[in-house]
Amino acid sequence: MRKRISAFISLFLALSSSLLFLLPAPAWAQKKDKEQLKADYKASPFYQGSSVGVEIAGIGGYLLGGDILSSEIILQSNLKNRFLPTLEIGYGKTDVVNDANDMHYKTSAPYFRIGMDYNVFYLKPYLPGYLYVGLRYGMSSFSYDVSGPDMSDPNYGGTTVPFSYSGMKSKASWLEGVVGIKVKIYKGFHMGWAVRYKMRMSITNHENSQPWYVPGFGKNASSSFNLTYNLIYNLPF
Amino acid sequence: MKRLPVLLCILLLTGVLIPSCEVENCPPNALSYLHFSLVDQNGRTFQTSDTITIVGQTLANDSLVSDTLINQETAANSFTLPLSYDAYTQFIFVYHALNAGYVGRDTIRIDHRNIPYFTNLDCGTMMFYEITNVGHTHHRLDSIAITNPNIDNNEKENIRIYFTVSGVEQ
Repeated sequence: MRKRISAFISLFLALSSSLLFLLPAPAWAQKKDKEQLKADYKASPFYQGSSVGVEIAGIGGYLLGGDILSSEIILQSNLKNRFLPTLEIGYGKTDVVNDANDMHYKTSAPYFRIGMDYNVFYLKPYLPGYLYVGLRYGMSSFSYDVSGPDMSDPNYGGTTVPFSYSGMKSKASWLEGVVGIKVKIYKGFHMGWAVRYKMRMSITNHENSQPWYVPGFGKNASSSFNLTYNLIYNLPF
Repeated sequence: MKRLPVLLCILLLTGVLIPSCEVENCPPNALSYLHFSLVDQNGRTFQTSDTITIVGQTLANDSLVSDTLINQETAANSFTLPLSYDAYTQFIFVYHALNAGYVGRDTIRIDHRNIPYFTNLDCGTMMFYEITNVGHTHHRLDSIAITNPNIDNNEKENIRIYFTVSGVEQ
């Protein structure tokens, strides 16, 4: 049920931003001559401002009863309206007990991503938004606790072994491929959503466990997908 | 610009379908077993002509617990046996030849370090082991070699039991 709710939320967020693109074309949609556009692009300044944003889909999911809280601040610069170097600083936490088997997992830590977006519509600055693709390198250093019921010998019976491990330190790094859109809402305010495909590069496991949730990456697997929804403000400098 | 709605629709579908792709990957076998291979004096796997019964023994709460794990198996060339949660497990191999009846028994004692292991919140815990020492009698068997001391839920050979096999038995 929770997955279904999050799917509907994803649909709503995606539609709400995408529909702005599909609205009847106002003055900005006037077709410009291609050569003129190229000339405008060449004449445009190299540095075209910076923006700060916050990811809110992770907070929304947590407030709706999800087990994981994850959010990040996004700092981005605009170079020639084409290359957008990006720094993302986030925080992820979970403290969850699986009701089915009483296993408990807890972690909370910051994470960092650095990378760059590429504006596919860089020649069309008159549009109210743009489609972009990007790459990120992410990393997190965290510690986690895991505990569960005593383990009983299933074959010979009798002996039980406690299962509780705290403060296990781990590091993880990963690469992300990003595809998303960003649209103007009002003056300097924008919103956008992106689909991210993450590939784990490295992770520190322990003799007694491997991390179940990695802040910034998600549930520990060789790869994962997720959807982010950002509110962005273009800084006046 | 004409292709923009198509691109957006693809992105939309991708975003909506992603949450339904979440899959928890629990390992198919959540128990770890010790894998014995029976080999001849040349290290070649062979099928024993004996009927073998194997009894597992361990200490649980200061009491000796016995369990018949294999009952009169014939033509075996390997065994997969569970270890206990205690510090050692011993296996009593009782051999019966088809014609001659009872022909002897061997005891193999495995000292092991137990490693409780967590993989996933949904899959719970498993017990892995590290073999630290092996002792045995050699009434019927010749020797024993540890080929892989780490026992987890991947099926792989851990111990080889060497028998002297005559040409007739092979």
